[in-house]
Amino acid sequence: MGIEPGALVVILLYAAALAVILVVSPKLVAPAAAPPPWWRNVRFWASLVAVAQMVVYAVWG
Amino acid sequence: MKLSALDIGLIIAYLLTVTGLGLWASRGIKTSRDFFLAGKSIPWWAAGMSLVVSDIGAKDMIGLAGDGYRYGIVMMNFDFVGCILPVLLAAFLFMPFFWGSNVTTIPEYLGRRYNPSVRTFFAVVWSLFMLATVATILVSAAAMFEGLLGWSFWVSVGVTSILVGLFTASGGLRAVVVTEVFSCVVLIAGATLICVLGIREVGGVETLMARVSELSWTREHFELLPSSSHPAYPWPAVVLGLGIVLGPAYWIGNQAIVQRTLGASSEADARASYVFCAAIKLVFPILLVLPGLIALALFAEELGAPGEGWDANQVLPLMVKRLVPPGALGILMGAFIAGVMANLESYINSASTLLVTDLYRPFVRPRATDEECLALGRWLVVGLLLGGALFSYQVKTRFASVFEAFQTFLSFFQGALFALLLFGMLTRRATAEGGVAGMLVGVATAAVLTATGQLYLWTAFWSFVAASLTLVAVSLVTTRKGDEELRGLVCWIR
Repeated sequence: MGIEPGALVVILLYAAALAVILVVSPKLVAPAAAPPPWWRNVRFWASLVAVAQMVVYAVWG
Repeated sequence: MKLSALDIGLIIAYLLTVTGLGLWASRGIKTSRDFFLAGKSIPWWAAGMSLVVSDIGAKDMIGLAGDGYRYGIVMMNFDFVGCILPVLLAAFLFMPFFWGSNVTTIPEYLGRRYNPSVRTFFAVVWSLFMLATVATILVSAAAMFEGLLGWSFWVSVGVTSILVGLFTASGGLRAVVVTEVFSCVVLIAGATLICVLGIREVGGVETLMARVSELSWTREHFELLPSSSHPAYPWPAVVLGLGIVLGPAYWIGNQAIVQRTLGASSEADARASYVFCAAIKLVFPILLVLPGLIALALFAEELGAPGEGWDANQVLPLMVKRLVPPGALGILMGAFIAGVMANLESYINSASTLLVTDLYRPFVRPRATDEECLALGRWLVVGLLLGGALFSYQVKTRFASVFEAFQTFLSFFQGALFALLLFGMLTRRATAEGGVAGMLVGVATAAVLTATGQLYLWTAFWSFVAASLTLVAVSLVTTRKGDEELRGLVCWIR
């Protein structure tokens, strides 16, 4: 069974959010003096949440 | 229903803990900045939990259980699409910029970006919305207390108002955040408890799904995004109205939300608080909507099929009455009271911040001292609770569910607000005249669509489209502000 159109739109919206988190925002926020370890990296956790939501809509949407 | 001694003990223990925490947190409040922004000292985890319970509280426990019964898992989209998505965008795109512009309220930002008329308009509209929200929360509290304890509507509203007024008037934002952190934990525990007890009573998740599917009117109850012919939540309206307009407007332009991050101790903490909130929201909607489906599996005959005059607010109280044993009831009531207080405190504190910052200081007494503003902020808490209590009966009698009431109030002006915020933050070209025109056309469109009975999700979307088109058209033929004037107000000019 394929992905429904509504779910596809939501997944694309989350993909756009992921692009903002990973590509656009580093240009807006001043870089830290030293990059934090992955477990203290807010960008990493935000990406994880976005991917989790993409999975939710891919499976149950 | 009578509460056992253990239940009463647990509720009193909860109230005493919250009182103690509130009093402890309210030490050292000397300025209005301490009262309204907690002296910019809130850590990320506290701001994140505070964001969760500013959004989710009594109105959601009662409202989402009722609407989960009526419509099924589509209601989870209010967090999955309407919260997590905009919160992630807000954390990385908008919040750093709000932080840098050093404003206290959203109307204050709009006033600087466009002109003072826009600031005043949205300050008045937000204050009215917050008053309506206070009324909605009081109706949720009354539904629970009426259903469980047999208190009358007005007694329930009166007791809740007095209790909340005492905390919020004394403590300001820091006391609100401290009690909200505690409330967040209690709320999750209570919501989990009712889901576990309910699933056990039904006999497991598979039995639950089978029983719900047997009913003739629950065909799309397990569709996260229902068909485009769904009567209330067709997927295009969910994606466009909720995902593109209502969600982002609420999480980027809502004073009660943004105020928490403006009170954070640093920009990095503010960003982390949003992401922490999004992570908690991955599971919270399940805990809030599931009780509605459990009620459907267990009490469908008693509660009946939703129709004219059906009251969605009765679902959760009935479940609690039937499923929760003595002792556990005390924990659940503690969780519910936590939800009521956290929600009310949050909106009342933010409304008083708006009224003092955007209306009293600019129009009534520009030279008001800080002590005067602090005192006024406290008195406004009392006034807002009184106003909300008086308005609560209207909400109770005019809407089938408190959640629907809240979203309807929001859809009235969120489209216009979001258009102004989006174009104001992202483009230099948006002009003051364009902002005023977009604001008026957006709200007028929402008024017409609401009056003609459109679904509130479509109302929000089309008012956003109307406001955006007007703003762009008028901005193209009027003169924009210079780059120096826009420094710190547009994302690309920092």
